Amino acid sequence: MRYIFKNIRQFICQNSLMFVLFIISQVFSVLVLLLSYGIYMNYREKSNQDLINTNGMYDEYGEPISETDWHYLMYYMDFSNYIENPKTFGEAKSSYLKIVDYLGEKLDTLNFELCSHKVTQKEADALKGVNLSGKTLRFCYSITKKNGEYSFQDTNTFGVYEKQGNLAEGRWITDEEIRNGDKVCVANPEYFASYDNPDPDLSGEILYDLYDDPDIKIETSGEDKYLNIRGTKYKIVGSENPHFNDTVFLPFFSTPDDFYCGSYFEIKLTKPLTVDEYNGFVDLFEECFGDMIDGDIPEMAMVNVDTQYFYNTNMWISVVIALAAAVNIAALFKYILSTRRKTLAIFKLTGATRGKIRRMYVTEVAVISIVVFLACTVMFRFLLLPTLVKYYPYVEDKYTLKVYGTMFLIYIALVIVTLNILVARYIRKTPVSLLKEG
Amino acid sequence: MKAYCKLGYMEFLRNLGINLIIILELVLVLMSVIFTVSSVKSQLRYYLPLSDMLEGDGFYATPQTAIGGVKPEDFLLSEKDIREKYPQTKDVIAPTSFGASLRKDENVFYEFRGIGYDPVIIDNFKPILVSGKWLDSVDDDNTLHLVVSNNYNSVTTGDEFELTVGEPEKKLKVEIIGEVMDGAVIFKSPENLSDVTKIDSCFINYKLNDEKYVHQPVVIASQEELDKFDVYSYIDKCAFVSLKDGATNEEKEELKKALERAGGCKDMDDIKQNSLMDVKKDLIFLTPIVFGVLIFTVVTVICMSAINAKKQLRSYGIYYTCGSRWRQCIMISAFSSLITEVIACILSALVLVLAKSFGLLSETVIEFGLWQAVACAAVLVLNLITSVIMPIIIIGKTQPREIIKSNE
Repeated sequence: MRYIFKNIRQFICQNSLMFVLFIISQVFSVLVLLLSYGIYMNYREKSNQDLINTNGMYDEYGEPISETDWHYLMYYMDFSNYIENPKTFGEAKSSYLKIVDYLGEKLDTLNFELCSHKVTQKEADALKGVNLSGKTLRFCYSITKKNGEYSFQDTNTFGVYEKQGNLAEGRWITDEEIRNGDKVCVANPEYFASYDNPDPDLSGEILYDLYDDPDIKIETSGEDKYLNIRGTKYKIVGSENPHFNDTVFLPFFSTPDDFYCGSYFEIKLTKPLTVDEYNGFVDLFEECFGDMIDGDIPEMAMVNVDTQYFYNTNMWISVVIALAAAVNIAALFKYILSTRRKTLAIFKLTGATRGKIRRMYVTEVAVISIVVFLACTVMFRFLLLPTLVKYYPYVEDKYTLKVYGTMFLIYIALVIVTLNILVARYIRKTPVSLLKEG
Repeated sequence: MKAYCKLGYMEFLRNLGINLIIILELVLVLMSVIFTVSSVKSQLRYYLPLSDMLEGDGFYATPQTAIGGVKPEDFLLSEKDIREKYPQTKDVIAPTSFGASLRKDENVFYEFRGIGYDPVIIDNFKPILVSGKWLDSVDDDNTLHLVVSNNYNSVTTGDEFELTVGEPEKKLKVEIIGEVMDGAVIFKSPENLSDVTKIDSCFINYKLNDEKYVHQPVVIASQEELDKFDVYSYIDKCAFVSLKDGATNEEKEELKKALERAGGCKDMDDIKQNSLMDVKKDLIFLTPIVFGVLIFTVVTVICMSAINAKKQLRSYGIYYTCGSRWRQCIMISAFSSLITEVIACILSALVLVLAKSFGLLSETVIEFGLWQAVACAAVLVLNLITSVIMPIIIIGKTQPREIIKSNE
């Protein structure tokens, strides 16, 4: 251990210029590492609006698209197409999952509705342009993908429902129940009791067809209630707030295949789509539901490709600088090793093993690196970060103790691994060749 | 001189190991400089091509020819039209519209909306292409060269058509030389005057989906070629009009009224101020990066020069003993450094070309032009100067005998 500090003292005294350059290179490497993390986190967290360019974009009404109009797309499919080409849930099931897979991480939730029966002409005419709520029994679904698995319960939609206290009693269906295809549901039994007293629609006409679905009824068995859909019983595990009494939540995989696709289709996004992704989504949507689509898919504000390319370039700059800083330190240390060749030769002649010598040199640099890293971190945290926040406003709370700790470990690990390779190659030389070098 | 070259080369070979590391360092430094300059330039890509126009006196106008209150005598159809009627006009930059019914054969033709670009726009603003080339490098032949947007007709690079033009009509050969990426930004007139607040407003993402509303994809041509082949085109709702230096207030007012009658206009100064605010905001983001790269370049160059000088110190001592002077030793160091720089330049060019061909730089704004070349030259000159100064600092007043005797 004493040789380590002796070496450091000798390094400072005999090679002051190189020592200063070595320290400066290390300081710079650490600062580059910390800054690169900040730039990356700022890019990731940067307001999605900053990536959007909506110049020259208008919706179907001729109104300019807002830069906030990137996060969801809602589409009502034409009911009149249902009469001739109704699509069953069995046919459409894989399509919904394909869309979820396609949108991947950018998808927050895919929301859609199903109908329990084939829509009649009367219903189609009555429902055209009229809000569905309160007029028909709605089967609502919300899908997302988390950690590579489809999630049906843990979605923004259901989360909001729960937080808003939309569940009057019981619980929501779990993802496991959905994936297992369990016959459970969330419904409001009181709703079905009101069949005999339906509300009139806006025109005053009572739409008995909508409510008169003899295939769906409530059954009771002891304390449990069941929703019987065409002979299949779904245990009611929770019931909603009466305000949402026309909505039933069935597990995706145990919903009957002979249900029909509803008109409502919505995607909510976590990040804006690129133009390619949007075009791919439109193509996929038309492929899956083409015969039900009437009119144009709505415009969405999308990522400006030029801006995205700009941020990619900045990432590349960080990578190149980090690489160069590492090479710089390696080059400096290689030079330092070459100045100690005589000392190294003497160590070898007096019996020091390669392992001991390697550990001595690596520990020497590791000690310097640790001190430099800690000093730079303090300087960065208290001097540079307040200034950096002016340029990268999203980084302020990204630099936690855990982040500093992780960076420290990465940095020291890289230093140790690189130096081990450098030193190991150098100390393989024989004492004679070391002494002869000049 | 020959001796310096020879000795410089020998020094380079004698310290080959460390010189290879220095070359690698220089390559990385040049890469980071090229990337940074590309980044900065990309933030100015909307402002720079039109900076002369924006910084002068003038107007942004939206001349229209559609029915909407503009009388035919007030039409301003082309740059020539504006200059002839209002000689106080210095320059006009305006995309034009032209009809592009491209005929493949007797039965097959495709309708496109044609946009004509001024040379200023073509030379300074190149959209992202998925294939082919831009209009800035076309052959001077009897063909109208077009760049097409993404389209449902599958018209793409290499396709050839005929276009009927002129009075009397004649058939013109048309070739598609490039295809713009869907969603890429192109220079295109916004719909309304109120939509234009800054120069960025005239650069929009043009997408395939836009066809659904206007039912026609876009082809872009050079205005020079359109004029050469007598293809009828007219200014379509976007014109930057600048006034000659020394134009009187009356002349300015006359032009302003004419532009207002033609469809509307606003003062160039408003657009310039908003544009500059945008540019400033964008460049502020880059400030830490530029600063960091600058310091990094200086630190690296000094480190490499110091290592090189230290390594060559013993040789300098021997040269001095043999009759050379320190000045001559420094020249040898400079030549050795020059060899390193030449190899680093060649390697950097190779790395860039390989990266581009493998598509590593495809989703970036990295390019190599005059700005990047100047920045790289500055780095190389700095390296050369440091390689001359560093030995002077290191040797100082040391005697050659001490240098040779030292343990290093």
